[in-house]
Amino acid sequence: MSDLTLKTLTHHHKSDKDIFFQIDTFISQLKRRQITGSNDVGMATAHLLVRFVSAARWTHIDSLISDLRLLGKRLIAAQPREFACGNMVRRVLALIREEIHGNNENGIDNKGLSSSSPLITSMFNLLSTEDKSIETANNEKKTGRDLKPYIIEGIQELIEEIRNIEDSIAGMSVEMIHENEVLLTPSPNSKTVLEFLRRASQKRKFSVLVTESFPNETEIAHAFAKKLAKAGIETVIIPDSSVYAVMSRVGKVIVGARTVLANGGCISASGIALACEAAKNHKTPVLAVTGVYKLSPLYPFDVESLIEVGNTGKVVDFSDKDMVENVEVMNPTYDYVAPENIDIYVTNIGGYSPSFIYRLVLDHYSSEDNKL
Amino acid sequence: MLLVFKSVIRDYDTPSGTTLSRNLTAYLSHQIDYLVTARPLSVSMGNAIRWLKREISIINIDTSDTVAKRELQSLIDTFIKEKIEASGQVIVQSAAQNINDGDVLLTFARSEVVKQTFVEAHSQGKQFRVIVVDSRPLHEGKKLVSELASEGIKCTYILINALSYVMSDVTTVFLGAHAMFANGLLYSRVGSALVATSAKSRNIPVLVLCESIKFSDRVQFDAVTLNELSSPDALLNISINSNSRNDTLSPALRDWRDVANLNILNVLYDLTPAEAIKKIVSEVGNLPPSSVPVILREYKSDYNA
Amino acid sequence: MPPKKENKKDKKGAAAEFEEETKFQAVVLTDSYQNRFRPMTLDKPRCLLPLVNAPLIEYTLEFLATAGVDEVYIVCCSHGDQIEDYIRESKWSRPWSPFTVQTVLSPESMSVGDAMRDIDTKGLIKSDFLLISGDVVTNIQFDKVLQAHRERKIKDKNSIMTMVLREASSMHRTRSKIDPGVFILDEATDRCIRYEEITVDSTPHIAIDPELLDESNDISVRNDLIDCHIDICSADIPALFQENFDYDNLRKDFVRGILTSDLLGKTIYTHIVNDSYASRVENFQTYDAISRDIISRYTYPICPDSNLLDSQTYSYQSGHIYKENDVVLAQSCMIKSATVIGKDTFVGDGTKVDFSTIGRKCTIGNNVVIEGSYIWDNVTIEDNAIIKNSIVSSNTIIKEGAIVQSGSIVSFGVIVGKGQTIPLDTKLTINEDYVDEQDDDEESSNRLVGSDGKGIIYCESDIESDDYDEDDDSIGGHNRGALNSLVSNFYQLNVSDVSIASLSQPRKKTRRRYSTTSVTTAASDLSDLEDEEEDFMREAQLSLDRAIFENHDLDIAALELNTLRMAMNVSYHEVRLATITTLHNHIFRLVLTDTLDVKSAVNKVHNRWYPLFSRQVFDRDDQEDLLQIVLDDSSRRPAANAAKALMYTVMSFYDNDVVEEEVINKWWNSDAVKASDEKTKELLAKWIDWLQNAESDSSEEESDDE
Repeated sequence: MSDLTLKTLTHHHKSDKDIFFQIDTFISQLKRRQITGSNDVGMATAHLLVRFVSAARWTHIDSLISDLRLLGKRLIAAQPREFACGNMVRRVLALIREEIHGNNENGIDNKGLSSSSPLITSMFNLLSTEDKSIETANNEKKTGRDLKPYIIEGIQELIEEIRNIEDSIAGMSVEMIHENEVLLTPSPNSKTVLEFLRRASQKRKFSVLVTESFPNETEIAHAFAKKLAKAGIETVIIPDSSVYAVMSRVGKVIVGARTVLANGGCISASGIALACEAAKNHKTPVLAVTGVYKLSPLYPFDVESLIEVGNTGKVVDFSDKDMVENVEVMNPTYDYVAPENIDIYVTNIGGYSPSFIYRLVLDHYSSEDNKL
Repeated sequence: MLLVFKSVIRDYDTPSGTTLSRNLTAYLSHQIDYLVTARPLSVSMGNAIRWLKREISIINIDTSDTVAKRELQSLIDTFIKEKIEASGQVIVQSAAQNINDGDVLLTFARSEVVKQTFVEAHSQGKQFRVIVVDSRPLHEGKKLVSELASEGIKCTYILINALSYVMSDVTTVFLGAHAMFANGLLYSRVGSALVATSAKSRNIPVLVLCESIKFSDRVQFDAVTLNELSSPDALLNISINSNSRNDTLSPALRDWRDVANLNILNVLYDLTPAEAIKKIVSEVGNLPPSSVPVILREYKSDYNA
Repeated sequence: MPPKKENKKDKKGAAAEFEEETKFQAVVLTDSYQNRFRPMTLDKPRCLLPLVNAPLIEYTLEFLATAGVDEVYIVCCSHGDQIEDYIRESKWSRPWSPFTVQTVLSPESMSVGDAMRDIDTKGLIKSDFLLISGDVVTNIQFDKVLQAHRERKIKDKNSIMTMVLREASSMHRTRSKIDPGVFILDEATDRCIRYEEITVDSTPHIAIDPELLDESNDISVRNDLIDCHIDICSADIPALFQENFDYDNLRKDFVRGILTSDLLGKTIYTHIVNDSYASRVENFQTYDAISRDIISRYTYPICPDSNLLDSQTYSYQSGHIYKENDVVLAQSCMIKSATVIGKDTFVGDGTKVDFSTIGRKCTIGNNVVIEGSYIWDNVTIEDNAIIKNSIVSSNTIIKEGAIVQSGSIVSFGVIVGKGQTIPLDTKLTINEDYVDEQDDDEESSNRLVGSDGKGIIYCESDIESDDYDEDDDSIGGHNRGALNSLVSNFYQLNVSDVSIASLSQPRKKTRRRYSTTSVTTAASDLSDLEDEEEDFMREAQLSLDRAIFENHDLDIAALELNTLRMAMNVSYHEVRLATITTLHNHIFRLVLTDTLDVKSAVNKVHNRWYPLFSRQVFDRDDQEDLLQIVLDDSSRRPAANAAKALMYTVMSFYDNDVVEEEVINKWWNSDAVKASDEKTKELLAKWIDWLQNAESDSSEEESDDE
């Protein structure tokens, strides 16, 4: 792991050693899947970046950028299918670049962190400039070290954004759900979906069908259903296989996403793609709720490489000798949902159609960093 | 079931004052009602009963009871042989022709005809791979996959959530049927519809192997209106072994009956739309789903003849 | 974020009484003190042999890292220097390693026992520690296990150890077929009551002390567990080894010793895992099985694509195929399923690879077939070679057209010559020390590897031979030791499976869980008559056995039998049957162990116990029945002594007035006796003759006396 040579840090400095220690611990935790879930990983990455930037010393900003890219590369290599760390690094890079280049065009800068203002789901909202750009404009001339506090501040805001994501998305739920509607959610592991539904239940009465997502998250699904029921929502648990059978009764499908790709598709827990397809067959609208930090500038050229394959022992009991020896068994834990099977993305900065996602990507990342 | 009816007829004595053809039908109805209380009649059972009643009613009033009974019994035997056993073999033979070298076949849950088809194709020396898709809580596919593997067929086993992951490699989908409705819809194990529609959207042909006895003149639009419910408790066990001694109860759901607003729905069948089905392989030939009513008509005239 | 924080949290949750500062220690035994991986282990320690292209020990250390261990001691014996070097260079010695690693060289230790004594001497262990062998592959959630262990420790102060076992089936591929252990457990508490190792040449049954059945309510005898040698031990275990310097093997000696010894009063528990993976690379058979398990992702997240080594760059492809960067595959080569290919490896045109692992920097020519094999690093395989179900170690060359058949092991540096065929289960090495002296090695091995080859056949030294299935010649028809050398597979292994399965058949039935309460009430509520008879037989025999061994008073034994008879409502016939069976069991035990010859054994037993019959045999019919039972019984015994024993028994019955002479005569003339075998008749005939003559004599004598 020592092969990480960063110009801005030296191995000799004591506090630097500490950073190296943290980076490598984080990498091995990623590898061992001790930290999973885009929320946790995103958070952890952001915290790491804060520490990294505050420890780093640079003479020219470019060295910081190249170091960050290197770090991002390492993080991605540690768990290539966990996009949150790559996304976070890219976000920070975009932030730095913006700080450097300033923001004269007075425009398509939307680091708008939902803040307290109520969200408007109109697309025009996107073009409205927010106070951030004024701040950055002031920093235009500053170079090198002076940027540090701003970068750190920017990352802190990112952390804030992740922390408040549920809140800002849930705010839109009332607009999306109508009275006495039947909803189906095939992603019971998503905290965002849970909050979304809970918030809606304060104003509306509706029922929710929850799939089990067997075998990887059944326990979570059951607990999720119970939480919904406790919140006063009429909840029904159904096996994954009966999604099609009940679809004719469903008004909307609500899914969570792990990562939203630039083409408008998303990576999510396995089984969701199937549910979205069934919804499409019934012309049932599919809502994907997700935070902007899950946006990834990548395109799914090779879908297979994006999907994590999990523990086979969850599909077949390992003590079942004949199965273990003679049958090939697979347990992918993620699914790729094609953009045509999703009707709308509900994010913390508003609702967008999948075809518009590429635009959001451009807003949040600088294209030089797409490939770290 | 038919075997049971056969013995019922054997043990049956015509009460005095009525004729066999009238009374036996009513007599059987009671037995059938009893069966229905145990489990809703499947379509094939219904068809067989209808056929039997017709056979009874057309018996000449003048034939003696013993002769009539013997005749009915032999009719039942031929029925079993023709409609169930022989038709199965015919389907297997013709379906196996749809398997080519290098194919990746996909099937859902477990169907005896489908299994026989794979075994037959394998014994013809065809090189292919089978993906068995399975679902909770019945795990029927597990039985199928171990049967196929013990025949030496190369198998992959996945659960239904992984379907879209493997779908792109598949060349043909084989499905068994519980019933075919007159509007061309397939009524089968819950999950079949997901498999079929997902294949359809990728332009993968879906073949349904179905004996014509399973054709029904019922029409239905969706699976919610008429279906068979299974025990919700079957979903509580979250261990992968449906039958294992170490059942693991889901910790969250141990007390689900006490939680207001919480329900568990466990249906057994679903309906696959006719568009998703490329063709139906039955003993009367390969048909498109729209031909189901045609076959049904033929049968009716058959029965009436 | 740093792992320390997490560990502390875990511990707080686990048990309050453990101070936070206590460091959780682990001892890794790198050496198995066996030679099962020879000839490879001649050059390299076992724990550094690659398993799916990563050194074996990495898997163990990875587990320890997730388990939240703070200090790791690696005990090295053979090739200790190599292990030390490896660890020093590995990521585990870096400052951010989740634990501190220390290698303990113990070159003079010859067994696990020695190693433990060494640890004790060095005083390394301060609290509960994890004892693990350096070949474990697992993904179990250790915090649960640890917590369970600590809870048990609070409940049972004498608990000194928790063994982690994985549920499987007895013939599971990942379960070692050499010396699998049978565990006898208390159902309710998971306490291990007995441990037995089944060696292939041992009898197909295990003796269970009847007292065990009295002690606890529900026990289960399990032969379906993978013993993965992950043990949580209390700190005094090294000291126990110190005290009992004859403890060598951890299971065979230590566990058995502790469990059978009443003096120590210590208890050992088990933790049975059934939802995650755990196993141990013990021999070539498990090497193969575990490799397959890893490739099929049963061990997730420990998979090739989690890149255990920092330098690795594996990525996953559908069908369980893993490739590193910079792998060059020719257009027309076929990589089928479940294959791992390392960096800088080249695979030529038309080559087929299936179910195999190929290391780094290998060059594989055109039209090669590799199936179910493990090719390590730097191997050159030339065109048209065929390798099936074998292990090919690093730096070897398989020349053009050579065929390596199933089960072969090609050790470091061997060169297999052009067009040569390596027969089934051959082990090749270049190490000169282990050549079979009886063979004309030079020539025979030259014949194998060819004139352009290099390498000789490795022969097992005698030390190891007891590990092998001696029946094997008759089974598979190939080398002895096939069980171990069988790299994998299919045909051969299936054949030997059958032989073991037949051995284990009688054993299996013991897996049925039966409950026993006290002897007298047991099964009294069973209504089925047959069951009762069976139960009675078992109980009665147990009770008599005890009486014989513990030399009970005759009256007590008779009383017990009578109580049983009444409790279970069986006839005197059953009682007699049980008595005879037990007594004769005892007699034959005495005879077999050469304690006594047949005659004195019979006399000793019968003279001591004949009064029992006075309470079982009342009239002539009963006497006849008794003789019949004896006859039946003898027909089941080993033929050599049966006839003799029968004769002496009948004699003793006569002498002790259990049976009247007339009855004997009548019995002698009955059909049953006539149907018995010649030898019996011959012996009996003599005696009956004597009897009839003697009778007149004795009556004369009597009259004389008068």
